[in-house]
Amino acid sequence: MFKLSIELKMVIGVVIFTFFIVGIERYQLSKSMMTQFIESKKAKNRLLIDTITPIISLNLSLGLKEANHEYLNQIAKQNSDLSLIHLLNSNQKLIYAYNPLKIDLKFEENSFTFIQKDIIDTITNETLGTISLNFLDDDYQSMINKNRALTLQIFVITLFLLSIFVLLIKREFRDLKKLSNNVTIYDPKKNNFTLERSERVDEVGIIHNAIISMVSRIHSHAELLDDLNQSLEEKVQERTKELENANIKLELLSSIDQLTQLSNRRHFQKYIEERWELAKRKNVEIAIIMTDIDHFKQINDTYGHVAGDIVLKEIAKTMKNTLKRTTDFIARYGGEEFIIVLYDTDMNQAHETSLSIQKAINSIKNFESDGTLIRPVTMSFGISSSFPHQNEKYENLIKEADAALYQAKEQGRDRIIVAKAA
Amino acid sequence: MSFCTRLFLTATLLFSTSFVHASLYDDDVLDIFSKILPRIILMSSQKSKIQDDIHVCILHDDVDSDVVLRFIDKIDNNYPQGIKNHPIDIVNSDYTDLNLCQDTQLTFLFNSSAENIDKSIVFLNEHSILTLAYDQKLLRNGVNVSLFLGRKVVPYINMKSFENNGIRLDNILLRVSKIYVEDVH
Repeated sequence: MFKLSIELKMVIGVVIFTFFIVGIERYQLSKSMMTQFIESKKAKNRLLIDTITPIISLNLSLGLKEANHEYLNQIAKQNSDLSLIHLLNSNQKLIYAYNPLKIDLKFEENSFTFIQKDIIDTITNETLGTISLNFLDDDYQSMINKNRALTLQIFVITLFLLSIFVLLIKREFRDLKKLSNNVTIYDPKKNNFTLERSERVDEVGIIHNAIISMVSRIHSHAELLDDLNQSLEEKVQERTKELENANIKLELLSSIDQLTQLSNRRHFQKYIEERWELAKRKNVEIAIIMTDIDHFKQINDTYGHVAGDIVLKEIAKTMKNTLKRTTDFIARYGGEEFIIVLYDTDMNQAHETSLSIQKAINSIKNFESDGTLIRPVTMSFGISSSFPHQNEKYENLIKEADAALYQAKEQGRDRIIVAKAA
Repeated sequence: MSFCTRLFLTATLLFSTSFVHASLYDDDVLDIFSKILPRIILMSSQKSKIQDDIHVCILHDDVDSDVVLRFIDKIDNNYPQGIKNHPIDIVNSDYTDLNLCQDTQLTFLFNSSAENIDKSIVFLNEHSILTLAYDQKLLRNGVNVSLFLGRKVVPYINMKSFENNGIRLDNILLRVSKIYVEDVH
């Protein structure tokens, strides 16, 4: 689909419309003139033939051959546009012919210049013959030529007037075009609208000035919008940071035991899964220590739960401080139960670590809760270790450590039991 | 006068007589007259007098009897059924018996003496009978119509004579005719 400008559409429309109207008008006028001319010519020819036929009829009926010939000669002489007279008798025999231009009658019979009439005896009503007349169409041709010349003149004048119209239209649309170009390339950020206010008072001037006012408003609004955007972006960044911090906190909250500040069981679960898979890939031994505060229920019962909590916090702190490597992981596994994951650690090293923890715990003389001294505690340990292979599950390792811890409890507590290899 | 001289004169007389007859009435002219004759009645006010037949009278001298018969034949040949359903009744009369022409619409006059001609014209005018004459000179005597024999042959009409018998001609006939102008001298 062609995209035409309004200017072009208007010019094409007016040109087509003008030529259509002028063409139709010329066509109708010419047709009317031709028709009138032909009708007038036919009427004139008919009048002539109607005038001469009675005379010829009389001459023929009276047998006045010479008089008839002379009469027809005279008719031919008086009518300079007559190019042919043929007179046939009732037997269709040519009895008079006037044809100085040697016209072939066959070609003229359908022309408006040709006319034919039977010669009827007015007394007997018998057909005495037929007369054919043909006239020159010089005047008709002359009229056509004049009409053609006039049409050409009108066409040229129309073309000239249309050219002036096109120039005027182009001039009128010049400002609109500039405006259109500027509006098309206008970028509020670049503020590249270069047109000044127009002095014109017509619709184009009104639109022009309205657009300039609009552009000015758009520019100021764009600046305002930029400022708002800037402020909004800063706010979004700030909020995003706050959200990230909140997420971190939430993450910590979801993975840290609030009382002991150690990892909780959920976090342990995640950690052991990752380490277990890593140990599988790297064929590294992994050890687990399960430990439990001995007779912790008695502390709760004797000193209260608040005191129990203080003990738990202190124990957790001590154990965490005892672990030296960054890969050493400790979590609160249950009420007074803790679990330690030692990556790349064999059973002996795990035992050493357990001894260090036991020693650190045993070195605590007492705990204090609101001025009340709480007696020292001991802890039991169960250790297990393994090189994880493809089908082995870490849950088994935990079970082994748990079983060793149970043995330590059974055997009198405050001791370290190493699980036997499965 | 010797016999030979008498014989020569007789032969000369006979020859000249036959020559005169032959040259006096031209067959072609008679042909035209035979065509014109009934038509001129129908193209004049005489047509109102027609009942059934068209009555035509031919006046002549005895000497022209043969020519008259030939002339009648010509009329019969041209109009065997009459014209416009009117049979043509022709009265063949001598100048001495004008009464025979009394009820006709047209009378054709062959050449005769001036006295016969004048007498006939007076009679015919009195009875409003259209007159045609072979000889155009008779127009001078008051005959209505004759033929002008010039470069072309056309009816020759004495308009003034129509004032005497009150007969009128169709205008169309006047269009193809020559009007006789009386020589004042």
